[in-house]
Amino acid sequence: MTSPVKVYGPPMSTAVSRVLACLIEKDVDFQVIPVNMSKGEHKKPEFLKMQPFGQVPAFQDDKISLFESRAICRYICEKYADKGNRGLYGTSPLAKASIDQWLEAEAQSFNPPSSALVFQLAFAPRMKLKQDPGVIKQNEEKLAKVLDVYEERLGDSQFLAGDEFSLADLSHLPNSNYLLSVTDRGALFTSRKNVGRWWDEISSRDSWKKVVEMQKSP
Amino acid sequence: MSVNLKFSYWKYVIIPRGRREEGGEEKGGRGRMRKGRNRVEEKKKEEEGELKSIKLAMAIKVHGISLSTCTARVLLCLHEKGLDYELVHVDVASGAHKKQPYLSLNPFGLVPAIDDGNVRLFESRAINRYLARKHEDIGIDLLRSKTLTESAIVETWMEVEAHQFNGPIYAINHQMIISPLYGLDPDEKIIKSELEKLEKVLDVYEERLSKSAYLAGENYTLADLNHIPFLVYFMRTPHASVVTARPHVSVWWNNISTRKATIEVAAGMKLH
Repeated sequence: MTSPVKVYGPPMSTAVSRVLACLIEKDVDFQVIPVNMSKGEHKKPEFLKMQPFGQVPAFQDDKISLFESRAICRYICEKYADKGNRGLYGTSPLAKASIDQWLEAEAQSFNPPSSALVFQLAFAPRMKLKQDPGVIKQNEEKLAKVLDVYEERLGDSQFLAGDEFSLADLSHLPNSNYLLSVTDRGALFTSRKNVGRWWDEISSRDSWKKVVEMQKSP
Repeated sequence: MSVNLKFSYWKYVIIPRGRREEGGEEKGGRGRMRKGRNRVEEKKKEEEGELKSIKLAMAIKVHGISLSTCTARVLLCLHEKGLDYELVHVDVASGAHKKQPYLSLNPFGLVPAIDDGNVRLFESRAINRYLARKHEDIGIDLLRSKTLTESAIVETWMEVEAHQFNGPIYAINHQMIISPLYGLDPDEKIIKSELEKLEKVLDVYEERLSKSAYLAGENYTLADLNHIPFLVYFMRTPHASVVTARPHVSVWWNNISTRKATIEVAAGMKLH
């Protein structure tokens, strides 16, 4: 029972860092198991047994093996309900419903354009791949519309799902961090008063700072 | 459709059946003492008010259109649970979903949104989670929420639907079904590349479904249900063969598409 949970994948992956942020918020011991993606380890049979789509992260706790970062986060919050930040996934059915709603907004509305931009602007140059200006422009416009909705929402409440930091906010950290710290598109966030205020609050949490440190160390 | 009144949420607004009937009989109660009559009328008014609020509170309002895949996702959950609901038509054709008052229900201007007494929600998958949790004890437990190891697997395959399956099938359906409605030719290049992605996803499903009857195990759950709306349309296209060519995926689709709830909801998904 006391053995730490295992997270397979590099902290610099956005999906891996989502799970790490959740584990640190919940004060759950974990071990990061490196997966060498440049050598294609995530497409090898042993890894595919844990993650049939060949993506990171994969996750193990006791006898359960899971994948999909948002599902792993939900599991961590349920299993370790009494540890660390207890309100991360809400403590009442209504709070949970609101968190789920904004988590889905993140997954369905925020994630597609922000992931495309992170790939084009942060990863493609590192991987020496050609950027596609059309894709960048299109996704910038989409993301701007999503952030307009957030701006309004964050004028009414401190965080997306209400007045407490939750999994819904946390789930935005990985992509936002790349856009704000690696690319020159941070103004998408900082030019919007409430979104900028929200970003400052969520990114200055100790849990996220620790994740950023882990991303920096080789 | 009967409504289950067992939930703690309702227990504060419910009045016993006997009292309701007694109230109904008071219509002909003339000639009583003034004091008594006032009391009776007051009681009647009070009960009418209560009944009205119960009625309003009971039926979940789903704002959307039956043709919409995301609306259908929520309707599937309501039908599986046998819950009373009212589908409030949103005039998507004239852009009502991009204007007030709809934007106050869903600021992203997408259908559906629900109104369940004091709870308003958008995002179909979040709505289904809410409904499945709230009505866990009616019908089948669509989240397997009693056992964490089971519910975590349901959550995983719900995310697979949202992040692996939804992207390519949405793109294909858009080209095959939506574009022609606007007089546009389907983009064969997009269809080809998205079909390749979808087939890779279905290869994983084939393997998975060779070991269990449903995606999250031996029980039908939201992980399966959430797939249905896009497949209803997709299976009417010539590309349906990518499903039927995979024996276990094909059996799975036969199972989930012939459920009573699926047949009822799919009946509202006719484009012609």
